[in-house]
Amino acid sequence: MQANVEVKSNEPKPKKRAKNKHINWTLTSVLMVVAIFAILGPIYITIVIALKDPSQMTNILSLPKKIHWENFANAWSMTDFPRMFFNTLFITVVNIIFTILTNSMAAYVITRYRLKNKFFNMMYYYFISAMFIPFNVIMLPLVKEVSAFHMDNILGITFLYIVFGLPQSIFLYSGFVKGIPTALEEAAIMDGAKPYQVFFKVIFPLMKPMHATVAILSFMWTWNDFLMPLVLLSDPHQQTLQLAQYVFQGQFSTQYNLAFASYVLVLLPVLLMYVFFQKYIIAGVTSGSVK
Amino acid sequence: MVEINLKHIYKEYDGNSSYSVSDFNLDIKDKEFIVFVGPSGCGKSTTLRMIAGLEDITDGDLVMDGKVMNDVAPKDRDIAMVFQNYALYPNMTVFDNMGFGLKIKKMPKDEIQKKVENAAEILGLTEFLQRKPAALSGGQRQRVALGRAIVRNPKLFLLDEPLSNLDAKLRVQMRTQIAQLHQRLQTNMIYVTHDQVEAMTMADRIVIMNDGKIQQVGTPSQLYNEPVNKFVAGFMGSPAMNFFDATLRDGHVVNNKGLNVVVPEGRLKKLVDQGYNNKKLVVGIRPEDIHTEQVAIQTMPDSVVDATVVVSELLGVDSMLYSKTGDTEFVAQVNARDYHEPGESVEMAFEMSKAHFFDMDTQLTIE
Repeated sequence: MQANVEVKSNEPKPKKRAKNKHINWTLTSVLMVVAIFAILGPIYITIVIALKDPSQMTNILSLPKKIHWENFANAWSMTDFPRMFFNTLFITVVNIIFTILTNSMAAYVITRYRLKNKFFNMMYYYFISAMFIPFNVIMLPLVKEVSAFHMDNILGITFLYIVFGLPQSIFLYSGFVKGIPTALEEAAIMDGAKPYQVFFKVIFPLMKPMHATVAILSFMWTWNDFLMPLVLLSDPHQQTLQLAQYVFQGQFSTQYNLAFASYVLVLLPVLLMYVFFQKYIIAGVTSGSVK
Repeated sequence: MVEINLKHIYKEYDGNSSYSVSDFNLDIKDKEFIVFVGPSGCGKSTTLRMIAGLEDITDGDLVMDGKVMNDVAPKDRDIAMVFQNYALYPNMTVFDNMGFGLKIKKMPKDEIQKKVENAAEILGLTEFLQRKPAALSGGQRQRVALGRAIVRNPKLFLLDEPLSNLDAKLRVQMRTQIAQLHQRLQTNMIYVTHDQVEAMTMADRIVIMNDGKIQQVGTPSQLYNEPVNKFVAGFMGSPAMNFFDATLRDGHVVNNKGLNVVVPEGRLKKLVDQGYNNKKLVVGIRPEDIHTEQVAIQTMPDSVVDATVVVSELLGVDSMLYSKTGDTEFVAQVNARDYHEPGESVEMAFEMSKAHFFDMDTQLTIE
């Protein structure tokens, strides 16, 4: 009897599950195809245009009749690629290093003390509230301020990136720090560690997944940012790759093939980084979402 | 290797109107194994953390070897602590976890290696030295936490409920291991637990706390046999002592719920002398002092009650009979041979010479 009841109660389930699976799969497939076209379409257009000569621009979807590799060489020299690449790389790397070092430290202190101390709690809300202020609102005052302090250069903008990253980093790190048991710090204190040793030897290494998330977000933001370099970096030698595209487009408004070749060059480092750091990026993003 | 005096220690947390620990006085002798025991929130861990230096002392003095330590940083107190959740550094190997304190002290590498290997051998951790804590079982992690404490060779060990995360079998094993470690190291240990069995089995002296106050300090047998109040009597012993609100009348303790037993002469005289005749008091009797054997029933005919077994548990050597006489409920711990099924009517003898009497208002033991 019992066995019969069990079989009966189990029967509809596999059917239902199979049906669900079918519906999900179709829906997934449709969405994937749409997504592939939405993402790969523009990339296809970028690559084919980058390989064409200007006379072929009438049909943007057509394949190049002859592949013009020289477009890349021209774009390279016209954008002063090596210099711009180095500038962008410098800003990005220095920003990531200092963001991780300083923002994690600030977030740690704020998170640990905000329940005991009103000042730190206020600091937490102060930083978090900054997340809701759009950059455009502070853009013009910032330009004035930056020029008054002579910060309209690579070092100045790097400093600003580190500071402007604080709200988001504090938000991300503090969620993570909350999950680290205070007993670990107390154990380190009992082991004789001084406060900086507690942080750098015990807490900092534990934040690794969040460091990855913060590093990726900082990289994406700094590498791809156009607006802040545009309003702050006036010296042509100190500009970034993104800014170089703008100048480039102004000069060669009809030569889309060179512009698109240049876009591909800018895109490559990001793609390469993704390929090499894929494992960490996915781990970082996942850990960020969970904590 | 240290004498510790806690003098009128108070702890008050910000925003709390009452003291979490109040007027805590204790002198700990050299090499003693002290256990703080009490229910959750009684202030035992807070006291331990004040000794460690992880919490400020609101008032009173913590003296170690004659020196007031209130404002000495934890790292300068020469104390090692084992935490309830092990608090192992997850990013370090077992070796690095154990050697962390020594590395901070800038001890030469070969010396650290020697000390860690030595401690690992004592604790049976040699083969796990290169593993990360995540790859260890609960018992092994706890041993690493112990190892981290012993490599430093501190003056005092503080253990904050170190076994509460382990399963019952492992807890018994680790209990023995900690006791052996104490014998071997001959260092003071202060051990916090809410488990009275751990306290009874390990301590030289037990400090039993409730509501932030010390209830009694004494050896396990003192606390078990001579509790100073109802709380101590009820906390020590498993299953807990049976308590009955009763009146002393004509040499009997009676309640209106079916209890009526004779108090032996010697005990009766003391109670009457102190003015408890015809007064309410609390009678306490341990489950093991309630008997069902015929011999006991014959020798104590005046303190036999007719009881009905409500629930019975066979535990191997003993059986627990959760019983009722009239409306009075109690537990008897009897030999497994005297097991009775629920619903059976059984004669039970209360060994009143071993009973405890408490004042109804003050809850203190009537001596």
